[in-house]
Parts: sequence; C-alpha cells; structure tokens
Amino acid sequence: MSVIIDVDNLSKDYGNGRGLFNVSLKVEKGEVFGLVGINGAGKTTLIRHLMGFLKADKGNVTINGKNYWFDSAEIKKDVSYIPGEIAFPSVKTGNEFFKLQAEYLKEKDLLKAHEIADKLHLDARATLKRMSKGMKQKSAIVVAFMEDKEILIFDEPTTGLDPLMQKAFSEMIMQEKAKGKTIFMSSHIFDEMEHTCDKVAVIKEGHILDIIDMNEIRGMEAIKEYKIEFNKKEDYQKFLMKKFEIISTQEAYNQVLVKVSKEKLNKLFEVLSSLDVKFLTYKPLTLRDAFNDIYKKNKEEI
Amino acid sequence: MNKTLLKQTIKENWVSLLIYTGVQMLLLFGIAGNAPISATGLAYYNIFPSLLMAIYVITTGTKLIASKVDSGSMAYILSTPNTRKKVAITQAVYFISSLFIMFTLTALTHIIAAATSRFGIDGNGVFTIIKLNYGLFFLGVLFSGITFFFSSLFNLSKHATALGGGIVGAFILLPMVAMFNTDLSWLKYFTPSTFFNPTALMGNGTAFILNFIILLVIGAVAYVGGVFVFNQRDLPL
Repeated sequence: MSVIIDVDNLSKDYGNGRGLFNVSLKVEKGEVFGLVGINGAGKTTLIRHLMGFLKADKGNVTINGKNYWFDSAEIKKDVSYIPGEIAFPSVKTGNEFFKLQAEYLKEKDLLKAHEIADKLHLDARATLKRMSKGMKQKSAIVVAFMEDKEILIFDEPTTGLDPLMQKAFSEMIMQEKAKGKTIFMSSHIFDEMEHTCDKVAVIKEGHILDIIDMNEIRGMEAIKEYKIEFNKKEDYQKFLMKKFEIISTQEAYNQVLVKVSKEKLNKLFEVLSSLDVKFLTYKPLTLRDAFNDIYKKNKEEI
Repeated sequence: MNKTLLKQTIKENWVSLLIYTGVQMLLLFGIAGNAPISATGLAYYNIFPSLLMAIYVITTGTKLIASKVDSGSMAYILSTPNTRKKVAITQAVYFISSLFIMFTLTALTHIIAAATSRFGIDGNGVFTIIKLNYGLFFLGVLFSGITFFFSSLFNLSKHATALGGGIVGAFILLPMVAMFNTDLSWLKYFTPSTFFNPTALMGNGTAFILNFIILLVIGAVAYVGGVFVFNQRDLPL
C-alpha cells in the first residue's frame, strides 16, 4: 500500500497550549481516515495544514509525495475540500456556484453535480444567501464530489445535515471508498465515523492520543464483550476461575463483563453449558467507548 | 493570471467601477463644457478625481482579497489548482486595469467636452488632458497598491480598510491641510499626492516624467509586497 497523506511531526504553536504538537500520521491509498476530538482540539488546524493554508512551525506534510506548502496548487489537482465553515463566492444560486467551481477546474459537464444534488434532495436553483445551514452544507458536498478527485479532505462534512442525510452522506463516502479514493475527514459524530472509517485518530489539545483501527472495534470482527449474570454465587465463582479475560465484575449481582475473541467463543459456551446462567447479553464495542477510554486514560496520566 | 477568477472579479466589481467613473465623467462634462482647459484643470483636477478615486480604491482594495479571506470564500478559489501568487496577481491586474479604464474614459470625456465647447481644443490641450488623467492613473496605482497590500496582509476586512483606507485618506487630506494652513505647508512632503501636481502638469515642464515614475515605482513596490505577504502568510480558511 502506498502512503497518500504523510503528516510528519507537525507542530504549530498558537500559544496557551493551543495549536498542534508533534502530530504524525499516515493515510494509505484507499483508506478512510477519521479525526475526532472535542472542539478546539486542533482538527481544523490540522486540516488547514493539509490544504496548505497554514504553514507549520516544525515538521512536514506530504500529499502524494508533494510538499504541502510549496506544491500546494499542484496537490489540489487531486484534492477536493469541504471547509469547516462554508462561505460561498458571490454568485446567486447553488447552480451558479457549481458552474463557477467547475469552470475553475476546467470541467464543462455539470451532469454529475446535478446527480449528486438530486441524491441529497437539494434544490440547487435556490439562492445561496437564503439557503438553510443544511442546504449550504449540501451545496458544498456537491462541489466536493462532482470532480471525482483521488483525495477527499473534509472538515466536519455533515454539520447541519439531518440524520437521514448523514446516512446518505455515509453511503456516498462508502461508494467513493469502493472506487479506491483516499478520504480524510474530521467529525464529532461517532456513528458516521464508525460506519465509514478504517482508522480514526483521536486528537486532544493538539496531540494525537491514539489511532484506533476500526476493524478492532467493529462488532462483526474479532473481539466482543459479553455481560453474563449467574443465578448462583458458586457458578459465578467457578466462572471466574476459567481464565477468560474479565473486564469487570459486580459481585452483588453475580455479574461479569468478559471479553471473548472469536476463537474462544466455543470455549465460552462450553463452560457456560455446565453453569446456571440467568442471562447473557452482547455488548458491541463502539468508537464512542474507545474515544472515552482514550480521553479518560489521558486525563489520568496528566 | 486565472481567467475564471478575473471574470468573477469583474462581475463583482464592475458596478462600482462604473459608478465612480461615471460620476467623474459627469462632473468633467459639466465643468469642461463651459470652461477652457486651463480653468478646468485648476477647478476640477485638484480635488475631485483623487477623492473619488480614493474612495473607489479603498472599497475595492478590501473586497479583492481581505474580505474573501474574512468570509472564507477564498477557500473555494485556493482549493482549486491555483497558486496564491496567481490569485493575488489576477486581483492586482484587475485593480490596475480598472483604474486605467477609469482614467482613459475621463480623458476621453474631457477631450470630447473640450472639443465640443466654444473654446475648442488643440494638440497641446489634448496632451495636457492626457498628462492630467494618466497622472491620476499613476497616483491611482500607488493608492491602490497601498490598499492592495493591506488587503493581502489582514484576515479581517475591517483591519484592511482601516489601515489601507486610513493611509490613503491621509495622503489625500494632508495636501488640503497644507493648502489651507501655510504654517503646515511642510505636510505636503509627506504625501505622494505631491507627485501629482495639476498646476505643473498644465505647464510645459518635463519634471512630471520623473514624478510619474516615482508614483509608479512606489505603487509597484506596494503591489509586489502585497503578492509576497499573501503568498507567505497563514490563511484561516
């Protein structure tokens, strides 16, 4: 796999602990890479560096092997962007906006733009100034997708969209991924990231705390957590002897939370068949859990 | 230069160019239709055109770059494969060309108005009118260079307007103060307006050539500086 976006030890100090500090990450071709963090964590600052709008104090970014600052215009041939705060050029309607952007990219055909607008239920004949937040966001999404670029860089692309449209957007992301595109996006909507991303970087106060491999988290894969309650204390104690990875226990209720990999699943049921089980529930691991864990752990370390 | 951007910039700015040029043409037509060229020179060229041009330059300068960065719409230009340098140069080309058009039109207006008046016009008169109007154009290159520089430097339009407009405004007002108060006549050495002197331009001297070159050079430095800072700085897009 080839690395498309390579952020190497990037620092930008705005003072008062704000900015980015020694940020490194790699996004490979065809990957959907997410960036999560609370407001002010540095998501937008990082994305603005990728776009060559900000110059780092230290470190480097390369996109397709080209320098983010010196070759910025060259890089844009392969990049589509959705800014975190959308402000349109002074044209009247959504359609005129599509036409203008297409002209910058020397693209004559607006068929794709109309297709995407339809998919998002956007009436692009509307005046930009009178558009709702959601409609503006949809217009920006249309422009980002109409060009068929190899790399998509999105800063909170679904702000202002209703849940239905967020889902439509996720589907569009998956379609682009299927075409082999590389996507880098920030978001604070965990569900959206959960379904689309291959990797998610957790950023806090300008530091990357962890990069989560979503395959390890998604319910259908490798590891799951089960909550089991036993009717009798002795069964509960017997179970604890059995060398499973116990995450937590609630002795008063004879409850255990246990992490079981796919390979050990049969073993689990084998053991349970001889015990008196009151109930067993499966608890999927979510990105939100992982995010909270990482943020909490970071707090304890400090 | 980028053609699409130039087209878009013309679309965004031609109305104000038309208004500020039109007002000057009307004024000129009114004054020059009823006075010899020398009288028009003194009555009109001392104050009106530089004042009107300054207002045009201050409002347009901010619009060309700073307000696009301020609103964020610059992101939609710079996310296309165009360098910042190309974007800034395109805006500068529009700015300078618009002033060239402005003063070419006013020169033509004056020539036509003079030719159709009862005083008529000769070759010398045409030359004087050309000197006066292109003198204003060179002054405009300098003024617009200053507003362009601050437009390229700031993220907020209000800062660009305050500084660029403040300086250009001071350059316009200082010679007026110097004119009204002879004790303060030294003030005129602190403004490039000194290099555009209608009284001298109506004579036969050749000092104006050097003056025009000075205006042009300072203006060019300001423009180059503007392109340079825009190319180097952080943009919150």
